[in-house]
Amino acid sequence: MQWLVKRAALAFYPRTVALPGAGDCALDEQLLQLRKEGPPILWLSLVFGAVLFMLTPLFTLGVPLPAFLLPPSWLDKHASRLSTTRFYLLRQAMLGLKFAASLAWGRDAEVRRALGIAPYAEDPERFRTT
Amino acid sequence: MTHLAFQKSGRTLEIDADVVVVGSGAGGAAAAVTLARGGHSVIVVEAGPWLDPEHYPGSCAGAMKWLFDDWGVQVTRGRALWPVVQARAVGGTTVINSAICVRTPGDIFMSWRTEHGIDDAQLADRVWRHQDQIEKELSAELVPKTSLGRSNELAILGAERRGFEGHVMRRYAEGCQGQGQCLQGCRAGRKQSTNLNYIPEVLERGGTVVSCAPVKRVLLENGRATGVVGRFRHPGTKAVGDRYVLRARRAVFLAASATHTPALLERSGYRSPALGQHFRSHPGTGVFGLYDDPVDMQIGATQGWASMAYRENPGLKLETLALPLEMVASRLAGGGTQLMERLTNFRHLSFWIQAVRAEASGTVRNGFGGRPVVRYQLGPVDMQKMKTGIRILAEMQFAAGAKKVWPGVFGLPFEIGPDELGVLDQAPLDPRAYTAILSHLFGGAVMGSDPKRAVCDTRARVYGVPNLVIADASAIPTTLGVNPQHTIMGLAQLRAEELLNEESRAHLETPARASRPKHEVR
Repeated sequence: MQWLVKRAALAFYPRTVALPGAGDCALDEQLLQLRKEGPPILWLSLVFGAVLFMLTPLFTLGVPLPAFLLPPSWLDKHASRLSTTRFYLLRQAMLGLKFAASLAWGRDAEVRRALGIAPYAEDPERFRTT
Repeated sequence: MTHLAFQKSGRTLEIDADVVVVGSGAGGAAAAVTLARGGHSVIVVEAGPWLDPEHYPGSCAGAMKWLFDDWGVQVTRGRALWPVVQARAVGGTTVINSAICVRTPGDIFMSWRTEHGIDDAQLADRVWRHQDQIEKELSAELVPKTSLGRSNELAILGAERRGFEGHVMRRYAEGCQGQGQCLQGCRAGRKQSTNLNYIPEVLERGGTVVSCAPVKRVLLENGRATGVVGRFRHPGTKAVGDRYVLRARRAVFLAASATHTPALLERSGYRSPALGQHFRSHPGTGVFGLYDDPVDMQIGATQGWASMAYRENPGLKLETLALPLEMVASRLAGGGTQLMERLTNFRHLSFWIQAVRAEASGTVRNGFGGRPVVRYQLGPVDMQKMKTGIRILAEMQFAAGAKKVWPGVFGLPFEIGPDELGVLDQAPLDPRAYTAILSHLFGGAVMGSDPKRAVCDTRARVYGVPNLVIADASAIPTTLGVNPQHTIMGLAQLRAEELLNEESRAHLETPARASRPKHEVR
């Protein structure tokens, strides 16, 4: 299911002239980490959100296609409309996808350079063992 | 000095001590160090890992994995799904908060007396005496002017121009360097989270710290708490390790947090009509201001300015908060190129927040896998406060020179100008329209004089189990209207002192009592 979550998450942060997109960042690694190390409910909600994202262009654009078949400009409009939908649970599901992608996007050195902010230090991934 | 982290050897770890303290955050560490100074052997058991400043993650993802409880994804159940944010690490939430030091206001003790029967005329003085000491030990000081950063400076200006009280924060941080990374743990080691001071002191005094060790249950035998049991859990891989049994000869102190302590009591078989009730919080939400010149909120103290002007009426505390890029990216409304366009303004944004002194009361229950389930939602009175706070913050942003404000309320325009403030009066009272979090948590195992309405008595001893003491925010029966860390620490030290005093009195009465070894490790 990771590809499904990735396809949906990418739509929220596309590459623009000014900024790299989530597709330019280590999104696969981030999603893998969330799937393997995060709480199961988090991954389930991401999959749920991704499924909803793929199935709802009919409601946002009136187009009877799954989101992964939409051309880029329509996909962009779909992501925008879905993240501001009046249906709360749907909006929250999209917030979850945005959040997952933003963890990879916001830490990316190129993104931070493009915005003119300092890069993060590495995560040591260590703790006291004695 | 003994620190035991994740272990997987197939054996059961068994240790005895005078007191077992569950949790190493503000309450647990403050209680443990007081007990250790009083000559008790102490075991501190903590669910999360022990990270030193050189281990602190740089990124938000790293912080969520290594420092946050359940990756920060626990949400309230109610109309709105709001995250309940707290830490799971040695040092508890003091590792990820902004170390804001505010004394317990006098009116709080009054309300505890009138509403909860905590009829101790000396309580305020005794808590404040401990807070005096904590302030000295943890180097509480005003954020240095050179470390404020522009977002905090703008807030000072905004409040001045609006004509209400505001002040530079006093924090447990010695010589804050303004790195803007409180949320990920202060790599400069300036923030005085309890993993840097009280917990090491417990070790130096001969105590034991057991980390990566979530407690499964408290051992309750014949109306006494005799220890705790659980299993080690690896903080990275989540692998389950050895079983452990930590026995307490004299007392068990619970300081696992306002959500985990009630859940732990429930898992342990303790029954009370008040258990899990009276859960309260200060839900927080904020407003972005967009400025012509860069604000660079990521440079400077994460939180450096606050106002108590609205604490009484309508019941708000205002603060600055530097949000990391990741959180701004997910919090802003929209998606696709429209969102990316908004994010190009990141350096020009300031973010100021309100903590609502909510009247709502919720519940905490033990859920699947030991995860607490929090049911909580704000009613119209509280939502009106939140709505008022949005307007105050927006006015303040414009007064400080913002050209636009992004109120972040569903149903309102994404962006408003200075002449469109009236739009904010149309904000809905539906909590689902707001992106808020719960970070100041209270109750769930509250103290009080009536066992039907309280889990512990006015000295935080659990009813029916007198050597089981609640030393965290779960015993606090009301909201405070200010940041809770200092109150939690003051109360926890007081509870530990009460135990020491009680025992020294008993010792004087029975001088022939046999001496015992400080620790027994089997």
